[in-house]
Amino acid sequence: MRVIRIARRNVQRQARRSNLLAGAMGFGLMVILLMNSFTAGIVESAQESLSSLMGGHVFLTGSLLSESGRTVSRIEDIQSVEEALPAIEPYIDTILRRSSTQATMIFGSRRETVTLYGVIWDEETALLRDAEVVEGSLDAAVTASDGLVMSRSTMESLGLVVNERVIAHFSTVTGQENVAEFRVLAVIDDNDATDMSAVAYVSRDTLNPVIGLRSNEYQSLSISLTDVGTMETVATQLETALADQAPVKFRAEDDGSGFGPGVAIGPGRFFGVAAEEEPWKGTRFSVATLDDYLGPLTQMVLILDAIGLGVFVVLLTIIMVGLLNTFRMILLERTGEIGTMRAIGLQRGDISRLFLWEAIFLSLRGALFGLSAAFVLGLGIPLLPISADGDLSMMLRNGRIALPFQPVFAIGVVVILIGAVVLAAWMPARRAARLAPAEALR
Amino acid sequence: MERRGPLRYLEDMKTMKNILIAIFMIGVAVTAPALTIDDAQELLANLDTQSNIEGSDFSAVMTMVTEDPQEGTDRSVVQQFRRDTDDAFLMLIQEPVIQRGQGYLRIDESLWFYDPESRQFAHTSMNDRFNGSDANNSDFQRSNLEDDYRVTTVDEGTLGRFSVWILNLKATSNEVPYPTQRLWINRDTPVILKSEDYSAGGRLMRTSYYPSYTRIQDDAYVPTRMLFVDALVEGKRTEITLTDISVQDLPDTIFTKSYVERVNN
Repeated sequence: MRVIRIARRNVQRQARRSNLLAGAMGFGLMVILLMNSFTAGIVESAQESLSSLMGGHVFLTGSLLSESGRTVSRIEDIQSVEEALPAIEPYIDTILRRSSTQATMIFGSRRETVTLYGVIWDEETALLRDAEVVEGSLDAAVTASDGLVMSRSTMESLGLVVNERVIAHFSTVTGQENVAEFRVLAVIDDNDATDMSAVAYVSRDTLNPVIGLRSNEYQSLSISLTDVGTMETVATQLETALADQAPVKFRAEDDGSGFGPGVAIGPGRFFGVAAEEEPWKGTRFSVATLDDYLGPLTQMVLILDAIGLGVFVVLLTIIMVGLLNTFRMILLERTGEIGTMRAIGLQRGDISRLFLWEAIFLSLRGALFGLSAAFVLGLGIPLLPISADGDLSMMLRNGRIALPFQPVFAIGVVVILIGAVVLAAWMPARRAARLAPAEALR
Repeated sequence: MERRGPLRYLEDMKTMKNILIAIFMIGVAVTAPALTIDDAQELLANLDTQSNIEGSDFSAVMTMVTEDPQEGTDRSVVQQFRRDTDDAFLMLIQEPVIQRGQGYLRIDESLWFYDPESRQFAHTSMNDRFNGSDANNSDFQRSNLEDDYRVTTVDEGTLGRFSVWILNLKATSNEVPYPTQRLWINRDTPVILKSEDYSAGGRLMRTSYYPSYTRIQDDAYVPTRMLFVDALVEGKRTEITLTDISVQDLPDTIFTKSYVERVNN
C-alpha cells in the first residue's frame, strides 16, 4: 500500500508531464473508441434501415425458369412455403409477403424512380405504426384499391399533391412493359420507418395483376425475428425445411451474380439470364439474411476497423517510446531518491513495483481522458444533421451519424493500453530496481 | 318540256363516262390484291430479312439527340457495330466526353454494360432504355418480328404521301417487351415507316418514326433517321441519325469484352 501511495504521489509531483502523457494516451484511446463506435453505428443503422425497408431480417425469394430459360422472380409454390414455416415458428415475430417492381413514377414531364412494393396492409403493422404521415391518410390509402403511399421527397420532386394521380411505368415479372395509374393518398416522412425516399407502397392485390402475378403470389417473404441474433439459425433451418419439398439454391452456392440475395429489392434486378445453371422445375427458393445483403458494407467496416486498429497501434507505439524515454528520465532524476528508499529498507521488488504502479496510474489517467473525450464526442456528433442521399443515407440513423458505445470493446482497449504502458515502463523499472543503494546515493 | 338535241346527247355521254370511270375505279379497288393475315405474317418475315444484314457486318456512327423537359437536351455520339448473323452488337459511346468509353455489348444472348470508371461489366436488360434516351437497347439488335409477333389485323391507309399497310401485332410470348404493336409499312418498298408500342394494359407507350432509309445490300434497308416519341412523358423524344454507314467485315475481336475494355482507355 505504501508503494502505491508513493507511486500516486510521484505521478502528481510532475503534473504537467503526467497530464501530457495521459493526454497522448487519451487521444489514441478516443480515436479508436470513436472509430469503433462509428463502424458499429454504420452497421447498426444499415441493418435497421434495411430491415425497416425490407420488413424483416430473413428473406425468402423464389424464381422460376421461363420457356426461354430466363429467371423470373416469383413464388408460385405457396404450399411449400407454408409447410416450411412451422419449422422456424418459435423465432418469428412478423411475416410480410410482398411483391415489388422498379417503377418510374411520371407526373407530366417529371419522373422519379422508386421501388414500388405491393403489400398486404393487414400484415404491415410496423409500417402503419411507425410511418409518420405528413399529408393525407394511411387509412384512405389502405382502403382504396388504387391508393398509393409515397415519400415526401418523391412527392416534392414530382410536384404532386395528395389525391392526384400518378402514372407508374414498370416491367412485368417476365419483362413486358406496363403502366398503371395510382392515386396518392398518403405521404410519409422519408426519415421515419422507411428510412428511404425511393419507395412507394400500394396494395398487393392492385400491383400483382399489372406485374403479371396471380393475386396469391408474391416475390419475397420477409421474416422479422424476435431475436436478431438468430438470423443464421433461422436461415439455415428454413433452407433445410424447404429443401424437403422444393428446389433450393443454398446460400453457400450463391455465385454473387446478382441473382442471389440482391433479388429481393425489385423485379428490375430479378430479371436475368440463368447462365450456366442446372435448369429446375417450379419455384426455386433462396434464403438470405440481412448480413448477406450487408456483405460489402461489412467488408468496408472491417477495413475501417483495421485502419482504426492500425492508427491505434501506431499511436500506442509512439506513446510507448515516449513513456520509455520518460521513465528513463525519471530514473535519472530519481537515482538519489531511489538510493535513499533502498537505504531505508525498500526492496528491489518495491522499487520495480513503484515504477510499474506509476505507469498504471498514468495509463488510468489517460484512459479517463480518452473515455471522457469519446463520451462527450459520442454524445455531441450524433446531434449534427448530415445531408446524405441514397446508399449513404442508409448508414445514418434519422439523418445523423450513430455512435453507439461499445462497453466490451472499450474495456478491452483500456486493458491493452494499461498493458502497453506497463510494458513500456518494465525496462526502466528493472533498471531502477537493480541500482545498488550505495552507488545510487553517490 | 324535256330538251332534246345534240347538247343533251353530249351531256348524257359525259354522265355515262363518269359512271364508267367510277365503276372502273371501284373494280380496281375491289380486285386490288388485299393483304391476308398470312400474307401479313409473311410480310413480317420479309421485314426481318430486309432489316437484318446477313453475310456481312454493319457499322455506323449514331448521333442521338434527346429532348427531355426534365433533363434538358442531350446530344451523344455512339459508334455502332452489328453482326446480325450472331445476334451481336456493340454500342460505344464517343460523346459526351464524360461518357466516352462506356459501351453496351450484346454477345451470347446477354447484354453487358461497361463503365470505364469502375472498369466493370454489369448485366443489363434489352428492355432498358439506351443511355437515357427513348430508344430501347433491343432497338439495336437484329429484328425478330416474325417470331415475336402474330398479325391480328391488317388495314390499308396512308401515312403522309405514302400508301401503307397497317398491321396490328400481338406478342407470341410474355417476354416480348411490348405485348402489342401497330406498324405502318410502306406498300411500295416494304419498310416500317411508323410504329406504336403498347403496354400490357393496352396503353400507348411510344411512337417511333422511320422517315428515311438507305439500301445497303440487295434487299437490306437500314433506317438512317429515327424519331422515338415517349407517349408517357410529355415532350420527351429522341432523334437518331446514322452516318458513316459501312457493311465491311469487322474483326471478331470487336465483339469481345476485352475490346470494350481496351478501346478508348
